[in-house]
This record gives sequence, C-alpha cells and structure tokens, in this order.
Amino acid sequence: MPRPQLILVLHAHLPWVRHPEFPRFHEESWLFEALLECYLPLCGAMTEWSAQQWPWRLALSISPTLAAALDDPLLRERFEAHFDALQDLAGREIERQHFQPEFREVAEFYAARLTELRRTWHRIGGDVLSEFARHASTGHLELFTCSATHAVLPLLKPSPQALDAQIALALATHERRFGRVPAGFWLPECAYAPEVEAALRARGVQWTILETHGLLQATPRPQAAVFAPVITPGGLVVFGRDPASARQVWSRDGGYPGDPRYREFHRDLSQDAEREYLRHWQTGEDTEPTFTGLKYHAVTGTGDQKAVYQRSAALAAVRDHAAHFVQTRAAWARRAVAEAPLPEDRPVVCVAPYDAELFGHWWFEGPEFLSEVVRLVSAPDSPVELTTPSEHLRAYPRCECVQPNTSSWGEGGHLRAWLDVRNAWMQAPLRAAEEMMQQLARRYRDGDRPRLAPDANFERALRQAARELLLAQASDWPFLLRHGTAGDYPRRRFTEHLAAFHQLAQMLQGLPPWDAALLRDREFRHPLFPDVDWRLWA
Amino acid sequence: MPAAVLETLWAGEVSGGAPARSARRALPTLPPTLFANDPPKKVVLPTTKVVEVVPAITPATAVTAAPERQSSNDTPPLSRTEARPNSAPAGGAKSAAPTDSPKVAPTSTVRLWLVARDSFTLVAYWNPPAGQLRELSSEWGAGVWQLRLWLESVDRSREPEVTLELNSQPAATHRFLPVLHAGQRYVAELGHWAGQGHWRTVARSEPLATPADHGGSGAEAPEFRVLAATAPGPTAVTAGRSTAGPLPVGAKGVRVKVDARSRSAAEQRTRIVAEEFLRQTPGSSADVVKVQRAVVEGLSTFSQEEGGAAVAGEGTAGESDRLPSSEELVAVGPVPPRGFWFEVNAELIVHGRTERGATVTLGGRPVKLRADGSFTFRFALPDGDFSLPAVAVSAAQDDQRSAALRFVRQTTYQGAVGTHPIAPELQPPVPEAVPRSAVSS
Repeated sequence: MPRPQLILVLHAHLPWVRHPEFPRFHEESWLFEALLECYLPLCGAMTEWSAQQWPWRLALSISPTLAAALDDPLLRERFEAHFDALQDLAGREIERQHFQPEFREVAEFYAARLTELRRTWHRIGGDVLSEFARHASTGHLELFTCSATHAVLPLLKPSPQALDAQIALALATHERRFGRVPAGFWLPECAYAPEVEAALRARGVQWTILETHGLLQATPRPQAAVFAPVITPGGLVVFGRDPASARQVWSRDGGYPGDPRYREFHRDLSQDAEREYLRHWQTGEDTEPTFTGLKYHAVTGTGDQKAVYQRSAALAAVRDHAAHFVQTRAAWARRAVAEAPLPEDRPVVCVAPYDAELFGHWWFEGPEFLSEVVRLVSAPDSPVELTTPSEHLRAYPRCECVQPNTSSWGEGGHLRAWLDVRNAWMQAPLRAAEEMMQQLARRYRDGDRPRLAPDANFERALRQAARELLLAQASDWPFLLRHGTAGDYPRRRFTEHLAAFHQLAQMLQGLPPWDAALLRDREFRHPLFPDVDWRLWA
Repeated sequence: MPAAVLETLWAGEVSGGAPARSARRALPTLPPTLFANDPPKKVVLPTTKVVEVVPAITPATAVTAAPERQSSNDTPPLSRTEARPNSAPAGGAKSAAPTDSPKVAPTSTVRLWLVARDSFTLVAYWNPPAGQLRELSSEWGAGVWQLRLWLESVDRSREPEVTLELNSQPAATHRFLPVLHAGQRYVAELGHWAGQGHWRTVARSEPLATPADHGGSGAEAPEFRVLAATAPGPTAVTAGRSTAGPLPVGAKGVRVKVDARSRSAAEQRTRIVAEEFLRQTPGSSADVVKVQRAVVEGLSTFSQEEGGAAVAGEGTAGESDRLPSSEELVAVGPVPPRGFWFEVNAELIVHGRTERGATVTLGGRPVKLRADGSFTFRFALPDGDFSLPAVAVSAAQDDQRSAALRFVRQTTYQGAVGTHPIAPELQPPVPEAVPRSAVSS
C-alpha cells in the first residue's frame, strides 16, 4: 500500500474593495492585513521550503477579485503607505515599551518581523501573484481559481448565462494572469449542485473539492468514502474534504488556534493606546481606531486578563500541533485502511482545505504551523506525503463514478448562511438584473441596438454593466450582512452595484440621456476584469 | 381578466417590449404531471390541516397563516384555465376572472423562483414590478395573495399535492417554506385567492428538488472511469490551451468495471468518516475567532450562535443546529437497528407587531422591538399552564392595548414516547424567561 497522501488546499479570497473616491477607506485594510499576515508570510515560507529542497506541495486557489486587488496599482500604493505607518508604529512601540521588558520583547519581535516582510515585499517587487506563479512553475504549487466574484454558484441556477459567466470569466482571468488554464476550480463555500457541475465541465474544469457529506451522501455511496476522489457521470473529478483535518483546526473542542499560548486576535494595541498616538489608524474623527495588527497578548484563558504573548511559547505550540496533525493524519489513514481496505492498490488521500486567511490573520501562527507540517512531512520516514490534486490524478487516474449530493461547507451543510432572514431579499433583484443583462447582451449581439448619443460607447457600457452585476453577485455581501461584522457596508455595496447596473442598462436601452460621466466614474471605481466579454450573457 | 393579459403575465414576458413569441419561448418548463395539456387529474390534498407556519420573513413582509381548508372542494384547483387561456376551464376558475381590463401594463411580469436553503427549507422569492401586485389586488377585489407549494415525487410515482399554503401580501418579496421531504420535487405558485374556487395564478416556479438527506447505498459493482479528454457541451473559452498539467485522460471517459469489494468495508469507511464529520462544527475562517474564544472559555453556545438565532427568527420547521442528515450518516454503518420509536416535543413562538416607537411589555418585562415595530420570542413549551400578558402603549402614550396570552399543554402518551430535544437555551413561557433585549431579528 502506498504511503497515505495529504493534500493541503488553501482558498485565498477577499471581496473587491477599492475606493479611489476616498483618500483612505477602512475596509481596504482587509487586504492590507491579509497581505501582512498571510500572503507575504506564505511567500516567504514557500521560498524557504524550496531553499531547503523539501518536496513540498500545496494547492492554492486565488479568487479573481483578490487577484485583481493584488495587481491594482492604487491598492499597492496604499498598502505601502499602510506598511510604512505600521513599521513606524512598531519602532515607536519599542521605545514606548522600554520600561516593560515583556512588552518590549513583543514589540521588538513585531519590528523584526515587519523588516523581514519588507524584505520579502521588495524581493518579489510587490508582486505576490507572480511569486505564486513562480512556485507553480516548479510543480510545488498548484494554482486554481474560483468563480469570478466568489458567487455562490448554486444560487445562480435560474440563470445559466450568469452561472457560466462566473465560471468562464474566472478561468479566462486566471489564464491571462498565470499563463495556464487551471485544472481545478474552487466552489465558493464548497457550494455544489449538479447544475453547477455541468457548467464546470462545459468549460473544461477537471476537478473540484466538496464538503464531506457531498460525497458521503452521493449515489451510489463511494466505496472509499472521502479517502479517494470520485468522478461524476458528467466527468468532473471530485475530492471530498477530510473531516478529521478540518475538525482539528475548527473544532471548539480542541482546535489548534484556541491554544492559550497563541496570540489573542481580539486584543489589539488600538484598544490600549492613546487616540492621538494612533491618529493614523483612525479613518474619521469620531471613529474607533482600526486594528493595528500589533497585539501583545496571548489567548490565555477566560476573561479579560490576558498574559503577555510569548513568541517562544507560541512556536512550541506550533511544533506540538504540527506533530499532532501529521501523526493523526497517518493514524487516520491507517484506521481507514485497517478497518476497511481500499479498493485497488491506491493510497489513502486526505484533503484538507482551509481559507487561506486563517493562516496568519485569524490564527497568527498559522504560517509557521504550515511550515512545520511541511518540514515534518518532508522527512524520508514521514508516514504521509504531500501531493496536489492534479498530481494525484496523474498517478491514480481511475475514480469511482458517483453522483455527489448537493452540499456546501457553510452552516447546516447547505445554503442557510446565504438565504437568511437578513439577506434572502437580495436574490430577486439579482435574478432581475441577470435577466436584464441577458436581454441587453442578446440585443446588442444581434445588432438590435437603439439609437444612442454620438458619444455613446456601448461596448464600454456593456462591460461595466457586466462588472456591476458580477460584483453584486459576490457571496461576501449576504455573508457579512448575516453576521453583522461589517456594519452597513455590504448592503451599500450590493445596492450600489445594482443601482449602477440599472443606470447603465437604461442608457443601453436608449433611454436618454447618455451619461458618459457616470460610465467613466464607474470604470474609475471598479476597473477589474478589463476585457470582460459581455457576450457571455447572451 | 383578458386572456391576452393573463398570457402575458404567465409567460414571463420581459419588460422592454420583447416580442410575444420570444416571451413564450421563455415559458418555464412545467412539470408534466402538473400542468401539461393532459386530462385534468384530481388534485390530492393533504388529509391533515393546512400547515400553519409562523410568519418569518423580512420585516417589511407581514403575513398571516393560511386559513384552514375545510374540504378539498374548497381548495382552488390549479388554474389551468387562467394560466393557459386556450385550455378548458376547470374548477370554476374562469367564472372568477373579471371581465374588465386590469390596470396592468401589458409588458409587466411576475417571476417566481424556488431555491433550497437546505433539505427541509425552501425559499420562494419573486420579482413583481413595483406596485403590480397591489394594482392587481385593487383590480381583483377581495381576496388574498397566496403562495402554494406543490409536492411531486421525483419519480413521478404519485399525484402532486398541495403541501403548503401561505397567505402573503403584495409588498412581500420572499418566503421561507418548511417542507417535510428531502430529495423531493416541489413547485411553487403565487396567486390570488378570492374564495369559492376563484384562484388566479400569477407566477409559477420551475420545479426544484430538495437536497437528499442521505446517500444511496453502495454499488454492488462500482463503476470506475478516467477523466475525459474534453468536456461535453460548448467549446470552452479556454479550449485548446495548455492546462496546469496534463492529466491522464480517456477518449470518452473509460469505463472500467471492477470486482465489488465487500459492501461492509465501504460502509465501515463511510461510518468512520461520518462519525468524524459529525464531531465537527463546519465553518469558515470568519468563525475561527469564535472558535478560538470558545476553546478557552468552554462556551457551549457556539453552534447556537450561528444556527439558533436564524431559526428562532424565522420559525421555520425542520431546522436544527445539527448537521443535516446526521442520523442517516450514522445509520449507514453497521449500527444495530433501533426499532420503532417516537419522540415529540413542542415549542412556542410569540410574535407581534405594533407601531414604531411604541412600548411593549411581555409578562411585565419591556421588550425591544425591531425597527418595524415587530418582535418575536421563542420558548420551550413543556406541560403546564402559562400566562404571558402582552401590553402595548402607543408612542404618544395616549393609547394602550393588551392581550392576556395563556398557553396550556397537557400531553398524554400511549406507549414509549421520548422527548425530542429542543435548543437548550429555550425556557418555558414565563415572565422571567422574556429577555429584555435579546430580540430575535
């Protein structure tokens, strides 16, 4: 029996948040924090893994909206300003904490870490995506994509053109940026329905990943449960999420990030320092300072009394947990084989997908955990080995044919989070806009154009209307609305995009006046997907 | 209503003056056993009372429970006649159609969609052009807007039946619909019910199958395939380009039959995974901070925070904080059969609404109202006699209304009957259990 295989999958996604109309905008910090805490540490870790000549493998999906943000000049410029301010703050913190050695030690750690991240930023020329592409070219990293604006695809079933556009545009965008068509496709929220599968196959997608019950409830039930990929009657290969590896990170009964030695996420310097001292971190006079990312406390335990963060203790926890993770993967595989031998002589596969931002942002020590797992698995006598989905399929191409069940990795295993009392109202306006987009695309494709103003550029207007519709379809807005973690911002974004879409649609129907200024303004604000093909909706 | 207008309404013609022919092409596919031009079939009605559902939609959408149907004769038939003017009249529906022209733009439309929130909850949503349903209401006079849900077995082995009827209001845009059957086909209808057989269908959804809540059995002879070289269907935008790495392919997806391994082995593997799966709380990164806190604080409400609140707010049936189909997942392994069993329990939902700015007390305790003046509380309902006076004082404090709510549960059992678990945070409906601020929203 071959060694069990572990497929580590990270899904990197942030919604498109870019506000050139303001000098600074609070929600843009989502990207900056993710860069500093997750993406740049990952870049540094990958380089280190390669330098050590470890046989590392990782699958990384990058959402097209995140990719667009990482490539956006304005956001890069603003990130560098943010980076400068943070480094400056870390330096001042060393001085401020001079007489508190425990805290000063943490401040010195942050300053050194930021210096190292700055080195990485300079080394890659501020181009995170190209750095990922470089690792992909060596075969260590498998890059793939997800729907264009992270739409939950089963919700788009009533509009096949809209569903196809989300997929086709994502594949084309990925190919243009990375030079290769991805073999895999991350289904946002692992949300799957048979209709989605057909759309994926129609665009040549070869594999995806589903939540565990998508396979456990398949028909017929797969012989190997989730320990081997399956293939659908339509020809899509499906990997199932390994519940054990998910639980070890997520479970409230023993997930790693809750260890008392790790850094506490909620206690930020912004809550403890003087307002004037943190002036840069205030986006308005009356607003609370945003999180700085400098946090001095450990998870510790119940209550507000928190111990000072000790980096050495946290790294010891990383070693403990990484060793535990690898050992339990091996034990899990042994159990699966011992109790029920797999058909054929193929290895047990454990697929462990996570949101990438878990590693570093929510779980500060997450990147170090990944590095330690990679180091342990790289040992010659490691009980498991790393692989990627495509590499596994090249070695073991035969898959059992089953029809997976409708599923997602969201609450309840289906679509509760996106069809909630707080957000279900969003669906009807989306369907209406999708139908309108289809009408417009068909009308202009067929040459049935209304008379427009002389300066009217219908191609640009159609592309921008498509962008507005795509952005309104993002899964982030209903999710944030439901959880109430971003105030009114998600509602405003959703309604803003639909309003702009309908304004453009009216112009395209020949309803005067043609508002060239509006079109320019919308293009200025949301320039992603520069060559989106509006004919996808026809 | 003139047939042409009804046809336009039904056909889903889009605004902007699209030709009628193209509009007809947009007709939704109708379930053959329901709506095709085959001879009328008897509509099978539930023998039990119409399900009463606690209103649970957006604050702007006030609804009331559907009136009980006394007999099948009182339930309007599917309006083949009005939906398809060329068909023969049925059930007296035609006689109900007004003869004067409605004040509806001929290009207007109402579209109705149905989506599965999970195996036991559907969401019906519709997109009436602004004011259209209100105009129809005034045109058609007395009556109520209703949403009907038809159940049809996937294999079409039995007659479709109305499984749910809910009153709605012209301003509503969506409704949550509890259903009893996973893996079954449903069709929703939005229409106007004027009583005495006068039913007008305004929109009908495409059929939708709810997700199955259990898997199939293992195959006796599993079929193995190899990834096909090219996908069927339209040429991909990326066709012909290089891919991330050549995957082994078969020309048409090679079918390979292999000897079946032990079915029990497969079941054993599934059971192992299912047990592990049921021990976890699924989530995404947004949850990890809660996880982080919950680990150290030993919170027991993590899953309730995520799942319970929404359930309480919606009052839909068939929801639970557990993962769907957990019983089935466990049961697929070689677990000894439990034999016949029965568990039952009851919950109570108290909900209401008053003017904005009014003050409401429940059991003498002030409650926080939603922005629209509504409130909802969910309680356990054990055996006993409970009283909860509800008092509302107007915003100007010049008027007061009250309701003395009294609830009695007296359960008698025959045979071994267990207590079905309910959310642990629910308390009996006594004044002390009324939270002062934790209003479901």
